[in-house]
Amino acid sequence: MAKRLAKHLPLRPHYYGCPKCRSCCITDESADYQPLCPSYHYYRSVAASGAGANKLAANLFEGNLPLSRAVADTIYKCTMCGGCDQRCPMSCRPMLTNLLLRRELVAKKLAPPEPLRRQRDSILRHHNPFGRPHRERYRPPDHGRSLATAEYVVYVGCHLGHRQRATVRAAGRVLDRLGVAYHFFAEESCCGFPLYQMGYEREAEKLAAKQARLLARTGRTILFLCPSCFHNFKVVRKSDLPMVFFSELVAELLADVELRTREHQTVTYHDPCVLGRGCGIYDAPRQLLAQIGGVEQVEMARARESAWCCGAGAGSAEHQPDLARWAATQRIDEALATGANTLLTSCPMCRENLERCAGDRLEVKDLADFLDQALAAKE
Amino acid sequence: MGNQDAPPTDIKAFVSALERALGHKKVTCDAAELAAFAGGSATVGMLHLPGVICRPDKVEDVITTLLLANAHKIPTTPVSSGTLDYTTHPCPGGLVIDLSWMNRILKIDEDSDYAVIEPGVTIGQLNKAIRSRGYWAPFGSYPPGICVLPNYTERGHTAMRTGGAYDDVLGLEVVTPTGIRFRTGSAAFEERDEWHTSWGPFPDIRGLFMGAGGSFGVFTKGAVRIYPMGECRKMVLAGFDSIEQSMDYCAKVARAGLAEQNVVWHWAMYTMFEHMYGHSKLPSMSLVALKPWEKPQHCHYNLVTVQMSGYREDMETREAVCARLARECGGEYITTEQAERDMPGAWEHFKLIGIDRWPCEKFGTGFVQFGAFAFVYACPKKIAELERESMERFYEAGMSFGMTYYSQTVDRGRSQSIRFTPFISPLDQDKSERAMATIDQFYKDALAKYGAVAMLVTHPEQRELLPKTGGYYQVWKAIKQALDPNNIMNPHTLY
Repeated sequence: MAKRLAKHLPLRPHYYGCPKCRSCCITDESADYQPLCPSYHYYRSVAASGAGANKLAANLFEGNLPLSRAVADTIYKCTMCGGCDQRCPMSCRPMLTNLLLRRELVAKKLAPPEPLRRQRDSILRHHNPFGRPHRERYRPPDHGRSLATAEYVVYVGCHLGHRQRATVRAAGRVLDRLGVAYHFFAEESCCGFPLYQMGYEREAEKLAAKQARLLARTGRTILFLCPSCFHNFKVVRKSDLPMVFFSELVAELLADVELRTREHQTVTYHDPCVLGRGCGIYDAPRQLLAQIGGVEQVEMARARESAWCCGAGAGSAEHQPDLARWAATQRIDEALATGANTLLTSCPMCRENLERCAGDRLEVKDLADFLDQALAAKE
Repeated sequence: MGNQDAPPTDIKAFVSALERALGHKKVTCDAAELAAFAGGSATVGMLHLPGVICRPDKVEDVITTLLLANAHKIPTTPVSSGTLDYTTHPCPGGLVIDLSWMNRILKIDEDSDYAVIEPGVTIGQLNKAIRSRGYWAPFGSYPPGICVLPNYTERGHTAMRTGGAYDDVLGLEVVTPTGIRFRTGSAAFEERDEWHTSWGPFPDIRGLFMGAGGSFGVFTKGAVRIYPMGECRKMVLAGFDSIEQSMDYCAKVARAGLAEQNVVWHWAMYTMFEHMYGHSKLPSMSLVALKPWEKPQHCHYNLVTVQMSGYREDMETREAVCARLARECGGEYITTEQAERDMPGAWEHFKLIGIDRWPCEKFGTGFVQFGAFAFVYACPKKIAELERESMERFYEAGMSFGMTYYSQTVDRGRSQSIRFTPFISPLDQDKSERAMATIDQFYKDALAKYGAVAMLVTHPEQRELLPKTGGYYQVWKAIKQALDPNNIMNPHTLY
């Protein structure tokens, strides 16, 4: 057992090196040491924290603990926000440990939990996690645009393509107004990121490789609207495709454009975990908002590296909806405390989860929708 | 008393009773939860699985839990977060009381400069609460997730002018295994909530619960000293080419009452800060090849940091005195500009904890392979000889890589601590076991030859030291018997 695990869990020193200081569960001083790990604070469970993942792995090595459904239940409590990996003062990698344990559990058919298993089946059958036929994936009309004249190929992602079509249209209008030559990727299907987070590494790698091959054929820079897909190609798969995230490109193009909203608005920006901690994109969305007249940008106490996860990561909205609701409600309260009337984000999953919990207390919008309105106001 | 490693037999009945009393949410036997507490917070040693975890959130829960554990004779280990103590190792199959959720700051008294906190309050939490009021507390180089009270009572390593950090505990509320709840010091009189002094008209029994790892009872709240930030805070640096010179300087600085804290850093440790703070890559192989008592060309053998705060004029005078004393002791006074230029990583660390006074985010020097440590107090005059002999001992035992230490002056120079930290890989079982055996022998020899006493029990073998205390041991046993007649508290670690 230990030998097999040693092969599959190559971070062994990390498991033993963790002194359970629980610094992985709280932010640093810039955010006043507030809660950072949603699963630790929601379940009040050390096992569900980064430190817990390390201890579980160490016990598996020692033969103290067999891989079981109980272990799986705990391991899948993590929303994979990556806060622990970033915070650990001992340079342990608790989230990576968690991911490696997921792969072991999947290999033993002890995981993932049922809602995630359904998502996996849907991805393999319909190329999206939502059980929707592939033909329903939204691809806006070309309006005369063609790949031949495009500089960018736009990669929409399953979530936007199946559940937030209006935002895809808004992003398209923003690009049009900024004079970007683009073309929506015609052969898009799931990039494999949800499978990667579930622990189905082989399947995830296969899907990502297939999409990467098709994207490479376009010979264009890939413009991502979904941060999860972007993170998957850029960080997880370390793809050498030329790529850029929507807010990065727009921030650059907006530098010389004067924009003003119709009414004064106070906004705050929620950093999606995969885009912020995952890809290090913190400045672009803020720069972009700073360029719009009439917009007052305020920061939540937990922002940038210390951002609180909305709770929807790694399929949590489906398989642990109570945690997802609780985490999102915390975030809404935090946003309201800034005096903002709009909460902006760049991730369709965060947006959906936050919107669901905000009710009529606060407007939650994707950055693309907000920009679209600002640009429309200019006209 | 003695070692009781056998799992308790009555655990099922106990768990049922505990669940009935506290509710299911506060009690768990989930395999993954149990595994998260195996081996306590130590990074080396055995991983014993407890049988049940209980998470009280109020003192009444603790009383109920202890009464039940006592009735069922269940070995019990109270923990919160992250000390490296052996006493946090749960007994196989026993009960762990996780105090992390008793995490309220109950009072910050700005008239008497103390805070009353529960055992789950973390360094980060308290820092945040007192900082805005112009206070700091000696958290040393521990990270923000660690709990304050357990760290203090288990002898967190920041030595203040008055002594070790454990003296910063003014009073405790404790629940004994038989369910008696009481408070110490000025807070003993229950009609008043005054924690301003550890003294009172009667014997101070607070000490029984300090450094005991919860072996006599569980503390449920405590008052800790907090200190005004001071209008000026300084870290004065001096370099020395021998431990003798460093000790001479420390004694002079401490006796004159110039410092809040002074620390001697071995070259291998303070140069490692450059790596920790991203100013250099790992030490070059030429450094690693050096024997730890041979210093590299480019740095001093020891760096001594003197931490101080107070009025500006006073700080300037004290710094000038330190500079003169450093030269008189054969060392070099290092200016801030020099430190920033020549040792940016070390300076960043010293500034963080000594001037800005934030919790340290680089615990364990940022290495994942943390190791066992050997930590003793000795007469300052004996430290130099002890240092050399110990370094040779550890080096010959194969604990050479990263072999380093720091040493702190305690109680204005009456005592000096020294903590050797060999970075061993927990994956190399032979080496780990040899290291542990070497450290055990070190404690015995350090006591026999230098009168050096272990700071706390870090290994099970240190149990052998206790009977050597003669009458102390007899009295100690009698107290333990009286407070914990069924020996349920940490029976497998020390007692």
